[in-house]
Amino acid sequence: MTALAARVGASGAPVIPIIHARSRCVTNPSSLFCPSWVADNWTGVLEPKLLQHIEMTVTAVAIGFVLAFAAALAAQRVSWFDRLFTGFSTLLYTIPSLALFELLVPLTGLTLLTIEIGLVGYTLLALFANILAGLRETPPEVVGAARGMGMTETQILLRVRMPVAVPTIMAGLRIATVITISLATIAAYITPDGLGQPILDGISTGFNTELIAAGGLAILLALFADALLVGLQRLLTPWRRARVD
Amino acid sequence: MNLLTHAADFLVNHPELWLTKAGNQVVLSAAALGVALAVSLPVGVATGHLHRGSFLAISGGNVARALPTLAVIAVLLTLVGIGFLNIMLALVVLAIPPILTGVETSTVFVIATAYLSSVAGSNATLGAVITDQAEFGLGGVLGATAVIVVIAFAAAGLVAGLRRLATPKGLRIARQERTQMVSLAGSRTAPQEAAPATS
Repeated sequence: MTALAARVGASGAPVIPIIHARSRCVTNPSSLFCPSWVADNWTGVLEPKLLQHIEMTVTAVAIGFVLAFAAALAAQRVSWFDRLFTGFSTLLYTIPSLALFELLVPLTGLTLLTIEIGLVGYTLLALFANILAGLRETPPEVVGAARGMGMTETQILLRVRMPVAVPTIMAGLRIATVITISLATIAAYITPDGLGQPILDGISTGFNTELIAAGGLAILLALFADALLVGLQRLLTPWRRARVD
Repeated sequence: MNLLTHAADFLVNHPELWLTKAGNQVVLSAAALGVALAVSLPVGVATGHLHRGSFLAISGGNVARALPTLAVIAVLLTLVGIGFLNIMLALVVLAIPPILTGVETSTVFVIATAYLSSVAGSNATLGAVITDQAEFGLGGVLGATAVIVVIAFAAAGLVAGLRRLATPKGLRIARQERTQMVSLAGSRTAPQEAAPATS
């Protein structure tokens, strides 16, 4: 059976994820890492799970960013909203991720929606806190000067507050992104999506190669995403680089 | 709500179960935070005092912060096998980076994540309830979650209290004034969390 499955996997045909090919490695399951399994299962298992993982993360961080930005703008106008939203997002942060997913299942089912609601919830604390702190970084006298030059409140937000806030907002975005990549692996308990699925599969079967391949991919994805956001921040704030040099 | 009564039933009917597991979760979290503190404090003091290696420490912290906990547990399973050491190392990795900036955030997240010990093969924590919905039901999950949330907030409060006690009186007054300014200008946790990447 496994030999057959291995051949199907190698030919590029779709393989049912849970019972996918262990190929030659299965004869020696205690071996630490078996590159041929990774090669055989890249297109069938690892690549689609990696892409799902990226999709889950980007969706959650994007929605979380919009929500947190709106909340930060509201908190700038209404002082009590800051404490309310910080309290709410801190409470979410203390809830174990799997428990939050499980508690959402009766409401939204064993779906990606359940996962996304949970993931968005965990992005809020870092994003909200950093967006608000970033928007408040502009000294009042600078805002006053901008107003004196005839800028409208929208212009002050877009041309003065936002550029000043970019580094702090990006710091929040980095935290939110790596947290989401981490928690998205837990999602596999609810839906068989993302890199958590081969990780959980590897844990239940004790297949080392799958654990290292899927776990390693998740780690590399997090490091790559973090580096990508650092690069984006450099692009967005050329003046900071000029000052450092 | 039906779910709430189930959660209350769970807490009333299995007190010794959740008390033991909650205790273990506290011990595991405290041990991981202790090791993380023991590792990161000397590094922080050294880089702060010698003004050298801060780039390396911050980059290292950022790399560690990016590591997905379940992935770390998975890779550790192949290296150290299942059990307490696995989840302990994974939590230490999770705890180190925020300690360099704010111990409260670190404490809260470690306590909330310690339930993953069940995945690492140690059913000592409340993860035993959370990862076994078939046995304890959704009420059990909610009950265990409530216990963890209470522990997390209590621990954050304790850390904040310890910080206040450890701060010399003169500095405390100065810091109070600053905190008041900051809390007027923004939430207190925000600048701390922003710190590693902005500096």
